[in-house]
Amino acid sequence: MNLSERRILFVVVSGILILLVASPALSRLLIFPRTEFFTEFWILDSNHGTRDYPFNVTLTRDYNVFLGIANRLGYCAYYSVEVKFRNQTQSAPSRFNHTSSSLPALCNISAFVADQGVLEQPLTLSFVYQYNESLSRVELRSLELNGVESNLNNTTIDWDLKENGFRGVLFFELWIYNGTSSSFQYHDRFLSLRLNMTV
Amino acid sequence: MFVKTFFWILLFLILFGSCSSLNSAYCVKARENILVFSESEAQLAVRAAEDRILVCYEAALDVANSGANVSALLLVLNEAGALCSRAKLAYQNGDFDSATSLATLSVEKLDSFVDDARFLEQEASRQQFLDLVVLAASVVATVVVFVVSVVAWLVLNRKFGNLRVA
Repeated sequence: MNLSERRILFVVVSGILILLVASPALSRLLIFPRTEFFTEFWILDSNHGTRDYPFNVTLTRDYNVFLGIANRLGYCAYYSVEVKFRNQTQSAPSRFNHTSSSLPALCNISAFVADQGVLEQPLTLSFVYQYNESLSRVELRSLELNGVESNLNNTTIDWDLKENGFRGVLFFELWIYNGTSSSFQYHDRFLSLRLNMTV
Repeated sequence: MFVKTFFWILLFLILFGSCSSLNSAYCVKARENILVFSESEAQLAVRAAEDRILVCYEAALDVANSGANVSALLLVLNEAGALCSRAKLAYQNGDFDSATSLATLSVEKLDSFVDDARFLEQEASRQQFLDLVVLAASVVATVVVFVVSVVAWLVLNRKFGNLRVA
């Protein structure tokens, strides 16, 4: 081994040794800062896919979907998912105005998700409704969500001439707890399941 | 005839008396098992559960900010939250008994939550101190290895003289 090779060997060995010793410090210091903070909110069908969402609803049949939340906000968050149902004319949440629907929630799903954490919940839905022949409309009685019944008594669905059916929308609004104001605020995210109530 | 009627009346009175006394005795026992909560009681229970959940969430938030793994805590909090949601729904539907018992269950789930959170926070601060020690040791060791390497290079250079002219 000549001097040049020994010099290179010395530098390489010293460099590797320095890197080894510095690795615990480097692993803490070389972290790219996060610049985007957001929440992911999704709904999947019973096969964990996006092809088989419930659409044609029949009386008292169970439908399974998965509701998921991924927290990328940088802190442990307290979410509340408000489950609502509307017909064609009732208030809907708006992506443009960033507002929630003015309809009351049928029920709430609380979700505490750690930073970078994911929470996915299976939901089993079924509807109880009846067809009013004289008025030609569907009158909803209740929605059963994971075995818990919610009252839908004031909701009716008229025949939709455009869509040729009794169309209703089950939607999920995401709200988040704000510690500063000590209240829940609409988190500007919602998911809809468009349903055709068959009679 | 008179004796017969008298006998029937007497029998009726005895049976009625024993039944009513038995009935009242059993009613007291039964009332202990049947929950009868008023709307205001149910409302108070649901509100207490909501408040408790918020307190526990704040505790979990502090623990998470201290760098601890809060997944176990959040599991409990999610269970309590689900019970509280069901209690609220039962209250909306006018089922005050279910609302009260579900809200009470929710609060019970969180009985030892704050203590657990405090323990985790202490563990996290201990871990953070250890991490800091490792970080400091790593920085010091890096400097030492670098200085030793430079000194060794200089010593070898001086000793052999021609190391630099390779």
